[in-house]
Amino acid sequence: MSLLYDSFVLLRINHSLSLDLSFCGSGNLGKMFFHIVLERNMQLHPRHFGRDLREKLVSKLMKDVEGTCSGRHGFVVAITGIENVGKGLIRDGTGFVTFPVKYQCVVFRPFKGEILEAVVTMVNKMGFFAEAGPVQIFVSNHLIPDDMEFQSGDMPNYTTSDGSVKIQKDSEVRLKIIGTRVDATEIFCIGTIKDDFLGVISDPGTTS
Amino acid sequence: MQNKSGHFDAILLCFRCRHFYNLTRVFFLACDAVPFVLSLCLRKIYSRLRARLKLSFNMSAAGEEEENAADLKIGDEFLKAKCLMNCEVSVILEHKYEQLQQMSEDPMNQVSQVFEKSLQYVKRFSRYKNPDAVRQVRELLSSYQLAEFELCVLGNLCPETVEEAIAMVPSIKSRGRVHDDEAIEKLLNDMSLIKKFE
Repeated sequence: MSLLYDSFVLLRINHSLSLDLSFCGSGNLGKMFFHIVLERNMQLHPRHFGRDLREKLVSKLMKDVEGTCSGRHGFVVAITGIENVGKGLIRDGTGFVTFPVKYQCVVFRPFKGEILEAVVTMVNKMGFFAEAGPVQIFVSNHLIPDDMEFQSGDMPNYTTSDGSVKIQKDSEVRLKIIGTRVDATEIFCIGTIKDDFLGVISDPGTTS
Repeated sequence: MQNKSGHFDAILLCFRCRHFYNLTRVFFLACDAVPFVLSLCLRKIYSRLRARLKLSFNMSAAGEEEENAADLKIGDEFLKAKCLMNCEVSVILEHKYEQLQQMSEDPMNQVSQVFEKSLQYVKRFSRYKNPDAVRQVRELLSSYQLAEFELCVLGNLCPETVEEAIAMVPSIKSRGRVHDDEAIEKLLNDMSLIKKFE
């Protein structure tokens, strides 16, 4: 009986596992910029109450929110619109009023498994750093194709043995994110270029 | 007679009425066995669940478990969210930047570093500069029954060959949908046409 039960459990778990994977797959495959609706409780000082209360509220929201980063939503790049401003609630003892504000904004959130393009900012023997918007991505030398060698000098770079492909500062590379670390205020990513159709797109050395 | 199950006394009591004995023994054995088997099963379920949870944690975006818990929570928030291509973001941000420029002399002072970096990034990597072309690409891609994120990856990376497109977005092939190579090729051709004539 226990055996039967066991296989039943196994079956169910397998089933839910496949469900989970399909969900993760859709969540992980590249999305970068989103247009998303967020909500925030704004506290407003009583001196701002008047005809232009709404404008004051919106400009304070922009100042508070734009440019911040949260683990949940990523970087808030820009507020594009206000959906609605709820009823204010006077705080006990202070006179401040809290308004629930729903706003639309553009957020920037890297996901694991995503393929994107980035600009190389620094090259050293451990690998190189690239930047995609506000996000820093590190590509370790283990994740650079084996035929690319590190060349030191005043312009450190990774070059193939025949010299046809070169990664240096300001190169544009296409890479795949394989890991992210999300802090309260920053997002770091680990990337790879060791895969099909990844690597240098344009090389500043050849054009200049 | 010394039954291991520890119901020695009870069995002794029943011993006199022999015909009763077998019945009680079966009863006590069952009493013992059921929770035992149950606990075994539960333990197995628990360990499997834990393994599964760990697996799904690893699969999802961030590295730490707390973050991932948050991730699971945001699931539907992001499902409702609209995914944007780099060129669309570039149109939005430039519009906003112009607005700021009208309001004050030095807009670069007003905007955050994140805004500035994002604007530089999308300007550098957007394939379509013209807002009309951007709209056309969005229309074209949405006529192909692609998911939002597939649409955006294709629009961002503009793959040139079918193999490249499949390597960038494996799901257009693997989900068993009607995207054969010819359909993908046609899509890529249309995209490069828009690029050519913008």
